[in-house]
Amino acid sequence: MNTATVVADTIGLIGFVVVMVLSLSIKSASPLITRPVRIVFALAMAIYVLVGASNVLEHTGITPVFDPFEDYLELLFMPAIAWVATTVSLNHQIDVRQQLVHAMSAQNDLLLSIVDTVPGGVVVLDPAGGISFANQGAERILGLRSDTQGTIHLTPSWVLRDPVTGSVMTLRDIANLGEIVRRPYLAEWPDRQSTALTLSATAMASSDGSLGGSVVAFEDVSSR
Amino acid sequence: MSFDSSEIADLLMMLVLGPIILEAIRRTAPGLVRPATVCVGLIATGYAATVIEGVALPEFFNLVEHASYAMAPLAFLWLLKVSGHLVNPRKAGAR
Repeated sequence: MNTATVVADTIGLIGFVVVMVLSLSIKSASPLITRPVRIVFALAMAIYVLVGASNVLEHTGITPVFDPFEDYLELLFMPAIAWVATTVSLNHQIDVRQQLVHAMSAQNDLLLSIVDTVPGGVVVLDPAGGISFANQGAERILGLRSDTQGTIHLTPSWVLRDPVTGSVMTLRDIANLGEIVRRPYLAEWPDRQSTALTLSATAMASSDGSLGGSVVAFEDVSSR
Repeated sequence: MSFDSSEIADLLMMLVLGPIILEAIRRTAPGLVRPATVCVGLIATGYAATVIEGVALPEFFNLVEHASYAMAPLAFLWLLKVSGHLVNPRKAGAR
């Protein structure tokens, strides 16, 4: 009997029992260390508890019967620890992404509140001239209406006329104009009435670099 | 000279999975890399000593093997402590 080996095995056995019990009994302060992670980690520690017990039994001369199983048990240790490490890493990545989604959602809500609060109109036009977004000011000034699918309609339809050239412009024309800074337009309604608008627009680039529509802001200046 | 195939498999498993484990920990919690490296290192030392004892200095490397397994729980306790696992959430004020 090698006394040093027996002492080392006994210390190892007690140590791994302590680690196993602690990892199972104390809930982690970190949300990344979930219950399955703790259980698999404890099972990995249990492998060395069994190995230690087998070694103590063998080296104290009680029985070597468990010795052939040790190395095969140890084969499971590294995959178990690797599963724990990669699962915690995955939990971390999911956590970071969820925080990003929440932050972006809060930022989006804030921007929508700001855009809805301004008295002027703001619309987002796609390259075909469809309105993909309109704030409350735009709905009021231009008489826009959203249906249950979120599609925005012009009701009643109006046309925009350039008061300088007299040409009529569609929303598609405006969507493809690019940059506009405070240009005057007339929104002419079917009943021949008109609303004087000053209009500013910023072109949006799509993912392939082409024009992806524009953000158009305007105000009703009829009373000025 | 005597090798047990399972001892070689243990060592190979460690050589393959050890770096993967440490890389996963480095990406998740860099502060845990040091205790994790000590844990992996002690287990790897045990596996390596198990193989080497079949080639040379059997008594010495047998002792190294068992000593490394004796010290490994301390490293795992360190890992648990640094990871915040040993902080009782109720005492720490968490819900």
